[in-house]
Amino acid sequence: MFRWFKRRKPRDEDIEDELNYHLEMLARESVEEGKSLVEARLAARRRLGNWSLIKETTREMWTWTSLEQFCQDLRFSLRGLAKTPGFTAVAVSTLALGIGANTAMFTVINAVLLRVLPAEDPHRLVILSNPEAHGIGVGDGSGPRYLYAYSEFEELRDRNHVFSALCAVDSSVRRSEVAVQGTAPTVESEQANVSMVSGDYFKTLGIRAYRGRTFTADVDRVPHVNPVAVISHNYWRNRFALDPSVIGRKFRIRRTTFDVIGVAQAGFSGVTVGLSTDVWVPLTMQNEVFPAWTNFLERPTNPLNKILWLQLIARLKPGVTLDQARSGINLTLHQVRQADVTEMSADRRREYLDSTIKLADGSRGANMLSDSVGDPLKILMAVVGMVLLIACANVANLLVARGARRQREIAVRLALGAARRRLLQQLLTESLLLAILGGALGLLLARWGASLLVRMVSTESNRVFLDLHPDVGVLAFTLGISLLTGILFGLAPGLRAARLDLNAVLKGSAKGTVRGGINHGRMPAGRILVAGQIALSLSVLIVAGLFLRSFQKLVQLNPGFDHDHILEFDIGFLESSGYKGPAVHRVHKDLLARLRNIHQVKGATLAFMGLFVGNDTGDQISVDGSKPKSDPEHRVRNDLVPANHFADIGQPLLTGREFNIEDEHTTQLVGVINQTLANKYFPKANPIGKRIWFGHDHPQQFVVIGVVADSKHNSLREPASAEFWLPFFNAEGDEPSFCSFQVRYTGNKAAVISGIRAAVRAVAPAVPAVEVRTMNELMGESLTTQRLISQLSSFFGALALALASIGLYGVMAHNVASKTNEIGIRVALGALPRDILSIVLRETVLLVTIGVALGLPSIWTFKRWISSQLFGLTPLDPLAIAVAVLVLTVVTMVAGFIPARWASRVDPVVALRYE
Amino acid sequence: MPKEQPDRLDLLQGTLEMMILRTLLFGPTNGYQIAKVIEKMSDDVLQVDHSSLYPALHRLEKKGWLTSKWEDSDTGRRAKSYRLTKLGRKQLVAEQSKWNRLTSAIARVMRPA
Repeated sequence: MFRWFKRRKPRDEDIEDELNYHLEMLARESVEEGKSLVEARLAARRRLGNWSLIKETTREMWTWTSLEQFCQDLRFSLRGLAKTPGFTAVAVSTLALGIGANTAMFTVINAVLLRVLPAEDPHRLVILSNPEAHGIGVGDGSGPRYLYAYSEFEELRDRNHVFSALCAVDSSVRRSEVAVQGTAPTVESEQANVSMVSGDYFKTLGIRAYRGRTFTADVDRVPHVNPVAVISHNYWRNRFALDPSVIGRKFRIRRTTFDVIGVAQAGFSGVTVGLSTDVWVPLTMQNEVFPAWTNFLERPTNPLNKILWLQLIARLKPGVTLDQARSGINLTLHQVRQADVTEMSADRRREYLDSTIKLADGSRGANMLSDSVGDPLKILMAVVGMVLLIACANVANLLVARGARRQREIAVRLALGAARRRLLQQLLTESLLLAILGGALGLLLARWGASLLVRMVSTESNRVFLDLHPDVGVLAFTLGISLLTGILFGLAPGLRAARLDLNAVLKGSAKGTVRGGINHGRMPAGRILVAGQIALSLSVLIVAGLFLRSFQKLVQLNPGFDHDHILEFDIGFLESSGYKGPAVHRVHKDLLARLRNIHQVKGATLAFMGLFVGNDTGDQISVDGSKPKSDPEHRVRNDLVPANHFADIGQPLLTGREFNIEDEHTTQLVGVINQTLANKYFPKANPIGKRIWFGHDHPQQFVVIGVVADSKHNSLREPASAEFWLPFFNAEGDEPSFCSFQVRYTGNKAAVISGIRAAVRAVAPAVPAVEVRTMNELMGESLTTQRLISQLSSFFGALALALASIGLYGVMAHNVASKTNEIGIRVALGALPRDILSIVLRETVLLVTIGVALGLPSIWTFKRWISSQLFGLTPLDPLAIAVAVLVLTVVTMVAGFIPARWASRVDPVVALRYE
Repeated sequence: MPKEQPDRLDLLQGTLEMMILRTLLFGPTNGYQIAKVIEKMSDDVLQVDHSSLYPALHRLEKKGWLTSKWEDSDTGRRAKSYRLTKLGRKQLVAEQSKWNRLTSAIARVMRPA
């Protein structure tokens, strides 16, 4: 570095001396031709041309020059920006808002859709299940595969030839009660996210132990005897403060004590985007960690009743392509399933064997968010992109206005021999500097914005975890859009400066002169930008309006029962609390009785699938006595409920009657159907007394005793669908050991909730403390994504409108200021304030009209894209569009009116002396 | 500005560097002399743009085809004189043959019909 500075000085002198010599020789030549010395020197100067330009281009031949120039420009820009702090603050904060919003959105998109697992060679990983699938299903697993049973995992792992490793992961993390030995017990019970994985999990993914070791395939050999746990680096840091003695610590999950054997490598928190794992334990410890109604590891006696709950991830063998692996693993699956079909009917067999594995890229792991928030995030990304463009236009306008004030300075510099290219470079440096400052500030805003976004998509029962650490991708994105915006908003003023007419500016004619009605050539760039801004804001406002209307419609939907006064809770799988057989029945019956006796409770009931808790089940039906076909068209959702259920939750009975106590003891199965089912299968007849067959392999029939109104079950967005109900309690006494309780109440919620807790403690002391939720909370959670999208698009709509209005105001104010002279003359010649007002307003009206005309057709471009996210209205909803146009027009007209009014009050005497 | 003489031609792009190298074949000299020599050798038909002369000299020097040194000139004043390097000589040969091929090709095309 030092040498460079030492060399610099002589180079400048060197060139200068050389040119001086040249000049001198040229002058001497002229003197010899008989000119005077002064004349000769001038002639020599002219002959040589632009002195500083030659010097500069000559020096440019040597290295470092462009960097040196850049440093020079940077210093110059910094000085210039520091001299106009107001301008700098407005420009930088506008950009920070735009870039920050984009970075925040991209950070979330990156975390949800793009980020690759911190695994070894992640692109050799494939996922055999549907990455979107989560939960527990019961069935046979035909068709394209979602989740797998444990027995299927074992067979695919042992019999395939295409994977070097194959592992299984519980598709949910289990929030479990834990206790750490050797640490002070916390007042409330401590919980951690426990993920059950097969022994090969760490090997398949290539995740190393940061401390200690991970477990291996050995733990899969014998169930229940390997209480070992690996904890995540995050959990180690947050819960154990990076204490190295954690290895070998005892760690209790529910009732079983585990040994902590290792800490997983930093930055890894499981394979599912949206979930974070604190503790990994072997799948073979399922019964200890997550006791359910049955042992999930056992091979089911009936292959049609598999428990499907596992995600499968595998690593391709070296040299095996995705296609080879796909055909290989499907062949293995077919062989495995062939062994199950001997006792099946031909129909059933064909269906059972029609089970296919769609091998998908596993580098991003599984995902519980991309399905629900993927599209909304992309729409919001487009919206914030438009906001950034509007912000860009504002800054460009500011720069153009500033450039207009700097015209003289620029003209002088051009006259003194500055190259236009060099000037452009310098102006661009300035705008890039602004953009980088805006980007840096935006990055800070984005960190906050992104975590706010994640909080908005999280719900009480579904806490979303996302790693929002700005990685290389996010930083590159921010830098990229900063540079892009810098070039975008810096180009217009730069090109204007480069085209500057020297003579006109230096003669002073370009300042405050009247040229026709409109000061043309002065702000056309500004006007185009403002019209564009208005068009973009209109698009954003229409999108916001559509989502707001859609959300409003969703919120106003009636789920079909008395949702305002219902509390819901469950008491878990009763087996896992130690209740079996008749004890289960006693708990259900006693609890219902006690709940009904709580003060202010109007009704208490229960349901197997429950309301708005995310459970679902269905069966194929037929009404003509034929065996129900496995046609999804005739798959009807059903649930089990006790007597008086519909009256208890306030769901209207249309005809017939609902279940009574006798129905729970008769052998003749009776059922209640909803209106949609009645309309679909008995369009003309009275359904009461009709028979319905349901179930595929061992069809059963029930007699319809009543019809109730339609209701929603898991989402307000779901369309009305056919449904039937059967009695929860039956003569055989084999009722499910799991259900949700609904309590309808009036008055004080808190009192009722404590009543419920007391009732559960009294009836089933072994059941852990219950969590009671209101039906409205649960229903609200089903609209989380819609709420997010409507709130954010409204916010961005307001932001876009504000930016566009500021832009319009700025351009019109600048316009009026530069026309003060003209206005003064007009007033002096007898124009009334009203006339001036209308002249200036006319232009605003024109700009707004052009903007609206440009913006309206944009609906057609995003029509198809957003219609999937809208409920109960089309993207061409006239009300949303009309309101958007109205709001836009009113706000922009106000913004344009202020400078117009200011113009109409111009005092001609002051105006004419303005120069 | 000196009146633009109608029979003077502007230089083709890139030919200035070639002619600088050719001029220096006679021996080291300074920038002013190089311009003079080119103009004289072309019987004042070619006009050297003085503003592009020095950038060209420095570019050639950076490429290693020339070296420079401050020396007393024949006018008695110190001037920066340029000397052809071995690399520069090689480059000149290459440029010369390229130029010959080009001119003869153009001549063939432009030959009177």
